[in-house]
Amino acid sequence: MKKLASNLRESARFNQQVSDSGDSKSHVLTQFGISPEAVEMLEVSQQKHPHIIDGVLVDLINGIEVIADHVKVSKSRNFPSRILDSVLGKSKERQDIINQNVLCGLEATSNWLQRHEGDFLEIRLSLSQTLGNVIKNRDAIKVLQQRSNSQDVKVGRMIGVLNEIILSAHDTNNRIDELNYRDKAQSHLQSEIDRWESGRNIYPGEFVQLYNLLDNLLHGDFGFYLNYRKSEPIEKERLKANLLDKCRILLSNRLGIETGAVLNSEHCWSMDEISRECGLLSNREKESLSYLSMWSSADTPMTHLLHSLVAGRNVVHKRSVVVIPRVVDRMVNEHFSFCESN
Amino acid sequence: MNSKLGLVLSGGGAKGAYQVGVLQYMAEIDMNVDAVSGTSIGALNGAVVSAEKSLVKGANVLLSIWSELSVCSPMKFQGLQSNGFISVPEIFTLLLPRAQLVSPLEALSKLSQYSDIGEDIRAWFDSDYKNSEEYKIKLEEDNKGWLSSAPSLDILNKYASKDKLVKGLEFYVGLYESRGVVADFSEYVKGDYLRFKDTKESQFWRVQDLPLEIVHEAILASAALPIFFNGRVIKGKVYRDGGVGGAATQSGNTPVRPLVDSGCTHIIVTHLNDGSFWNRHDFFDVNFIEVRPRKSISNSITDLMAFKPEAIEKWIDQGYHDAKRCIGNVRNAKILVEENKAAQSTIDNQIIHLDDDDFDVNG
Repeated sequence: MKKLASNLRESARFNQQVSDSGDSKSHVLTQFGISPEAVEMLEVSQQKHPHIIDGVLVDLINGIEVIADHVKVSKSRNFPSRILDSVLGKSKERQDIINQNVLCGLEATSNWLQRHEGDFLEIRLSLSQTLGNVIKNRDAIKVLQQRSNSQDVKVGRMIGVLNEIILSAHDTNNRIDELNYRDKAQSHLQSEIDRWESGRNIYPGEFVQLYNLLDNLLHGDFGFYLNYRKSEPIEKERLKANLLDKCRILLSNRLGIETGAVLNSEHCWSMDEISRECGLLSNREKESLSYLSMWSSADTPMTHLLHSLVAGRNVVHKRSVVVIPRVVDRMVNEHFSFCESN
Repeated sequence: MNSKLGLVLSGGGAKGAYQVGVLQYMAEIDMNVDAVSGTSIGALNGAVVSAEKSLVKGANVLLSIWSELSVCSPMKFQGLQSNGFISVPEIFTLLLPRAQLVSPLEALSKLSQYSDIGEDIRAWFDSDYKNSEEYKIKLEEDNKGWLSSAPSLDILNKYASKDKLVKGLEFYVGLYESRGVVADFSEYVKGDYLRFKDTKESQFWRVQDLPLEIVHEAILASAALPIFFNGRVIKGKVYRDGGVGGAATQSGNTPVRPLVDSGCTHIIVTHLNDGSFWNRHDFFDVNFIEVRPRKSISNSITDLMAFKPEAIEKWIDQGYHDAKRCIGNVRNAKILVEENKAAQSTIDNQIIHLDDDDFDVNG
């Protein structure tokens, strides 16, 4: 870490100086104590005569071959030849060439080493700068990571809020739907009651008219609400009770009995009477009512009674009677009995 | 400034095979040259490279030529026998004082049969005679050597025709303006062996600048070793082996000067002698890669004419390995340096890019 910190300090110093000088290479060379003028001359020389720079390398490597050649010859000379070479100056001449190449090679080596050191310096500075950038980038990534984490939390919260809103909206929507359907059911109930009251329930006899009322309610908004909507049972019970009340009031009015007295078991319909009223129905009406009450069974005896009578089947004793309040309760329950389980 | 690569092929007789090995290595690494300069055997080798315009092609042609030379010596003796040749070693055995079989006096007497050295000796001491018309006429007549240059001319005609040379790679040959056989010989001895006084400098001619009719003459003159070969008369002057000039510093035998003057920035110099006194430090602002023999290449005079298969094969192999070491080491270092420069440049650019990319975590 200490080395890294040192590198970073060096990098910072380098960056500062580079930005000051505007040229990294010149700067590196001036760090060797070379004057800017000399650096400029060197750069111009390198651009114009790149081979001169190569010469350092060639002199170093190839000069060794020259030295080896002359050393080989010197070694191969016998004693008289050496004396003769000394007298003629060839030995000195050869040694001079060797020395010159050694000197040149050493100079080249020295220059080469300095150049290598310069290269190393540049590489280290580049490395420092790169490390600086890496650290800077890592710091930036950390900041971004923190921001991202923070955003994640915020987004999580927002998603929670959004889900709550969605749920709330859904609930509100359900409630609106509920109110809407309940309102429709209420309206439907009222319109059917009104229709009966107005005399547009054209079937003969109150038993058939009651069935007709309930059947219309069953296949309209009222029936849908009570039998198929997942609504509060209490609301359904309230509507059903409202239906019963209205039926009792209406039947009381039509039968000419006091409204509260209709609940007494003394008011009855005879089977004969019901059978006779059904007999007044036209064939089309019978077929229609038979079709509409096809769903009835032994579990729904009042509706099944109607179904049997309109189908022409005489299934009950004519003298037997049914108590009106029980008929009303029973028939309403047969049409809307399963709504409580929903 | 563009770099220009020159190749110097120095003189050394049959040891010129060494240069074939050097060229083989250069061709192997696909190295080509912009100009060639040669003296003596180097002029003959250089002529082929120049004519081929390509070092790679020239190296291959030279290899085949030297393979032929190793089985059929180009050194044909002329004069002693009218109807045949004798081998070069035989000539040396017969004539040269260095040979142990004959006495110096006997050799000198035989030598005198082929060159009127008395006149040369007189000219050596008598400057008036030296400058006289009589002596100049004698010089023109006295250029007959012992060996025929016809085989060399055949090689030139076959592999380096005048037309190809004129259109070929920039090519220089080193020649020495003769002052007579004895004067040339004695000055060479004074310069190269005794170090009393160096011979005058050789002349370097750019072959492409020469009139067509003297292109081959100049090359043959460059290879005309005194005594052994005819001096070549060009424009009224006798020219011989350029290796005679600047004997002490080997400046004639190692014709670097014309390449330096022509602007070569890098020059590859091949030496055919052990411990050549040619000194790279006599020149500035030029990079020299010298190919010097690591093992002894032999400085025996007899080896100058030793066109024997085993010797040629050995020299070619030696030249190849010396070139691989001398040129290869520099080349490898140069590659490292260039790659290092490229890497540094990349680092510099990337740092500049990082500095200038306006990156700001807050921005």
